[in-house]
Order: sequence, then C-alpha cells, then structure tokens
Amino acid sequence: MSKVIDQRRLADLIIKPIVTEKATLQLEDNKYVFDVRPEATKPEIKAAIELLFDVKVTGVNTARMPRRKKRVGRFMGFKAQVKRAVVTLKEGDSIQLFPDV
Amino acid sequence: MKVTQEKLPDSQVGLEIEIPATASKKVYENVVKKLTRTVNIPGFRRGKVPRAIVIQRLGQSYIKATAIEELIDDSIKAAVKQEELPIIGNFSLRSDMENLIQIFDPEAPLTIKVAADVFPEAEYEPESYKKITAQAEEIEYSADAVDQWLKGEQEKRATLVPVEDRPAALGDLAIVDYAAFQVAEDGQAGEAIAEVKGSDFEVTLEDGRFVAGIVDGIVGMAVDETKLIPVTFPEDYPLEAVAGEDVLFEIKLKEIKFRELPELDDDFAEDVSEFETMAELKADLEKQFQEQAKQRTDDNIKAAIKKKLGELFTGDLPETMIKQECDRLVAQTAMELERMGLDVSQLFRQGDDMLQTLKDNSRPEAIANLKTDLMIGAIAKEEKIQPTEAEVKERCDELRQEFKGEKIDESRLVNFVESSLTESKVLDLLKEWADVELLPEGSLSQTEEDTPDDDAEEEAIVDVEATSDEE
Repeated sequence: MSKVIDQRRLADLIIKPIVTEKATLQLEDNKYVFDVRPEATKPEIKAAIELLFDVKVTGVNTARMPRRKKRVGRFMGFKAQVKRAVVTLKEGDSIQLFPDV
Repeated sequence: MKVTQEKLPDSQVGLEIEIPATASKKVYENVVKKLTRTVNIPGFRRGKVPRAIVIQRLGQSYIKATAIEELIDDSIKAAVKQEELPIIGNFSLRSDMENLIQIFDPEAPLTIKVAADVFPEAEYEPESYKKITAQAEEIEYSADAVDQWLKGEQEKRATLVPVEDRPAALGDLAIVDYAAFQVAEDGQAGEAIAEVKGSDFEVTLEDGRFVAGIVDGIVGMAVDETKLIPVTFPEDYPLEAVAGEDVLFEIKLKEIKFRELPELDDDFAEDVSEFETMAELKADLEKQFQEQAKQRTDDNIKAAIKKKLGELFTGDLPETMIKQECDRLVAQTAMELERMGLDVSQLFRQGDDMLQTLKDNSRPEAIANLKTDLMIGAIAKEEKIQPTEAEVKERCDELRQEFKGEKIDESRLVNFVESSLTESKVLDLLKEWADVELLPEGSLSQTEEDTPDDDAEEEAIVDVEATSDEE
C-alpha cells in the first residue's frame, strides 16, 4: 500500500532546521536535523528535502518529540507536537545552513 | 605600522595610522575566539558553539566593530609610543566608524584617522620676554598706617559708657527703634513699610553708616526722643520695594553710648602686643608696614609681568587643558564659598546650569592662566632655570611641617614645590629684565574698583540688613 505523495504540501511539512550542539556535531556525518510536521512520513520528508534543497537523501530517521506541557492560566494544555527528522544526505551533497560566512 | 602626523588647530595633532593586514587579522581572530568562548546561544553549552554559528548569530558587522575598536585602541597607543607625542586628553576618531566597518577586511591593511590634543608648545617671539614693559602699582608705606592700626585697636578696646546728660553726637553709639513710613501726600507719615523695621538696633554715628541722612538726623537727638526723618533710599538698595523711594523714618532714640578710648601708653602697648613700651610697638609696626608695602609692590609687579607674559603667548591651547583649568578654578571658588559658610552642594543642586555658567565664566581666566604657565615653563627651559635640590627639600620640609597630620602625596608635593620655585625664580629674573613703570597706588585699578562713595553705601546696606549686634 503505497501512499501518493502530494507535491503541493511537501514544502509545508518541513518546519525548520535545528541548530544545536548535537545537530552541528551530526553535520560531520552529513546528517541534517529538521523539525517536521507530526503527520509527515519518511518518504514524504525525503521527497521534501530533495525538492527544497536539491540534494539526494539516502536515509531518514524520525522521532516524535515528547509533548511539551503548557499552562495558560488555570488550564493545562500542550504545545503543538513536532516530529524530528534526521536526514542523511548522499556523500558530497550539502545544505547551506549558515549563509554569508 | 606607518604613522603620518598632521598639525591641526587648537594644539591638536591628527594621526593617520596604517594598520598592517597581519595585525588586523590577529585582532579579528582574537575577537572571534573570545566571543566563541563567552557567547551564549540557545542549543549550545557556552564555549561549544562552532565558529560559523557565532558569526552568523552575532552578525559580521558586530564582530568587525568590536575588532576595529580594539585595533584603534591598540594602534593609537602604539603610534603615540612610536612617535613620542606628548598627548593629553582623549582621542577622537576622525574617520567614520560606519564606513570603517564597511571597508574592514581582516585580510587587508586598514587606515584610520584620529585626532588628539597634545601638550602645547609655547610659541612666542624669541627673546620677547626679555623686554617686557609693564605697569604696576607701587604701594607706598605711609606713616598713617601705623596710626590707623593703633586707632583701630583703640576702638576695639574701647569701653562703652552710657551718656544721659547730652544729645547724641557724631562718634557715639546709638541704640534706636526704627520704622519706615511712606510719605503721604500731605507730607505726613503714611502707610508703614513692613520690611523696614527694627528695634534695639545699634548705629554707630559716623558718616556713611545706615541709610544716608539718618545719621545726620539722629545727631542732636536726646534720649527717649522720637523724631521723623525724611530719607531717600538709594536706587540700588537691595529691597526693591523701597529702592529710590522717599520715606519717612520714625526713630526713637533709646540710649546713647559714648566710646571711651584707652590711652595710647605703654600699658596699651603691652595689652595689644608682646612689646612693653609704645615706642617699641610703633617701631615694629613701622617695620611691618614697610615690609608689607614692599611685598605688595613686588606682588603687583609680578602680577603685571605675568599678565604681559600671557599676552606674549601666541600658540594654541588644547581644549582638554582649558577644561581642566576651568574645573580647577571652579573647584577653587567652591572651596572658598564653603569656607565662607555656604553650602556648596546646595548651591550646585539648583541646576546644572549654574555649574556650567561658572565654568564658562572662568574660561578667559583659565586661558590666561594657562598661557602664563606655559610661558614660564618655556622661559625656565630656555634660560635653564631650575630650583636646586636643597631648595626643594627645604621648602618641602616647611610644607610638611605646616600640614602635619594631613595626608600628603609626596610626589605631588615635590612637583608642586618644584614648579612654584621655578615660577618665582623665572619671575625674579624677568623682573630684573623688565621695564616696569611704577604708578601710584590706586591709579590702575580705578576703573575696576568702585568709588569710595559706593563702598560706604554698601556698608550701610550691610548695617541695615544685619539688624543685630554689630561690633
């Protein structure tokens, strides 16, 4: 059962790249970390990254981040959940995360 | 490092410093390294942030600005050392900072322009100080001085004897109640003037005391007599309500006291001084006054020479020095005021304007002072005048004795003594060379000082204002 990838919502699946110490360490293995929408699947993420950055993706690992609690006044709720994706690129490909350096 | 000097007005020097690429590169790297170590960026522990991210987060221009600031600081210090400039005060950047950031490239040399005040060179016509012509007042000793001093002492020691059997006369001390009234149309006393009123007020019956006319009115009155005296207040009387007005004074004479002066004999001499006989006292006084007159003449001559010296100076003065001197003068005034019992902090709290005005007012004086000082310094150098070590030591010891118990900054003391000794030596020398025209006392200051009449009035005002035990 293969899902048809909707090209039009691909770009919206990727929320932002993550720049943390851990993420920058992984850059050495040509792995890039992104927050994506929770409903995005690995094939969709692969397609989206390949579309947005014009690179070849060789692997995608995902994890659902723990739900962050948020209290507004007396009501306890949750922040929007995100899925985190670690995208491995084909050797030689790269994504420019830090422009103007 | 290449430094180009350029003379600017107001004793400023402009420097053009070319910083080599290696230096700027080094500083730039240092700045980045330091920032990498210290900056806090979310997602990273401090010190673990990769260089690229630091630069991206802080922005190139910020890092460049920091680097340039450091570069300018360092290079100016180095340039001053290299060129051995007598710099005072701070530097001001003459190139545009924004522009510098734009063109700054750690790989390329950078040229900056700065300006700074330098210690001024004394400029004057060579040898001009050798033929100064000045006018100074000569204070002549007069025998009157001794008599006057004695008379003053006599009055200080006078005993007041109440008088009842005769009317008031000049020289007496009268105790009066007074009240002022406006002159009504029919010449009678009109409304009372509340501000001018007093009781048990002591008036010395001498010309020029109190408001003009009153003393004359009191003379001839008997004890317990009440009299209306018409008086016109002077135009510049401090109370505005009555200044220049015609007023009727109601004076009630309560008491007359006569000053009984002690005899000028040996007892008196013993009383006022350590001398045993009048003759000795007189001789000593004569000597003192003669010395005083000579001293004052000398001071006048020196002051005149100093003034002329300042005029000889043709160079520019740096703003920094003028400001410093202004501050010093204001501080001096403040200290004097404090000694007079005024609360200085109160005075200055009224607004910063006050302080600023004071500073502005002292500016011409500050400039004149600086010019004179610089000229004296230059002459001392030219003529190789220097106090000997022994002299300095002696004077230092004297001062140390004087300020015993107070904290003394030794190096400043020596500095101060040296400069003051040099100054007096230079002035002595100049005095020999200068062509000083001696004028009789008072002839020079007439334009500045008030005429004696005004003085008397001033005194009268003080008397009225005091309204309490005088003498």
